[in-house]
Amino acid sequence: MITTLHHPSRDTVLYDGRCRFCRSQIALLRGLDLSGRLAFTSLHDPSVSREFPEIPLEELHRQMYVVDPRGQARGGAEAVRYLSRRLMMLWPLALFLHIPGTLPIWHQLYAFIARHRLKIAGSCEDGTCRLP
Amino acid sequence: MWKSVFLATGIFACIAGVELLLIDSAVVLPVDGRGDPSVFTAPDWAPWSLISAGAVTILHFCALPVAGGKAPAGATLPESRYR
Repeated sequence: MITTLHHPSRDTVLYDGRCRFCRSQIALLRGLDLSGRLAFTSLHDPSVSREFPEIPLEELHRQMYVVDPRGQARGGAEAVRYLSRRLMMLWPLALFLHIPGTLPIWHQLYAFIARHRLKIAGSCEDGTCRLP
Repeated sequence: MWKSVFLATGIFACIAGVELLLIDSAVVLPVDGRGDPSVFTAPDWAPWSLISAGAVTILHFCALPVAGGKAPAGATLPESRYR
């Protein structure tokens, strides 16, 4: 877990805004966030490197990050687990994600999906979805 | 007997998880009344892990065979020894 100096007012989700699969998942999260607890920022937004310089850009490309109001940044499967706790609509999923000893499995699954995210959602028309 | 232990443990874990979900922190007073009370704050994930572990334990209870096993089809029950 990375601690940032900047403490956002809401849980901030940092995602790859040039990836079609990531954008579809963020649209899903927006729908599930009924009480407006989350803020979404693309990692390509200039404010990300300004407000969260502690998180390396390579890490942001590798996995999604969630920064909570205490400045703690969680990435990958831990971020998904955190979101499942925060969003009431995801509480059934939280029960599965929190089974003791299963975090390495979710890490592997997340890493596999993140690696193949461009194959899952197809390529973008303008080519901006390609990994750097 | 073991079946009951699994059920009791599962229910206990679920109840403890829900309790932790409802409170922010707990003040633990010393048993003998001397010394300072300590404040216990559970991590964010602890309630959910307890509920999940409890649910898995209850599912395991459901999967365990009934003590004594199931009587085969067509078998007649033995007469009671305690008349």
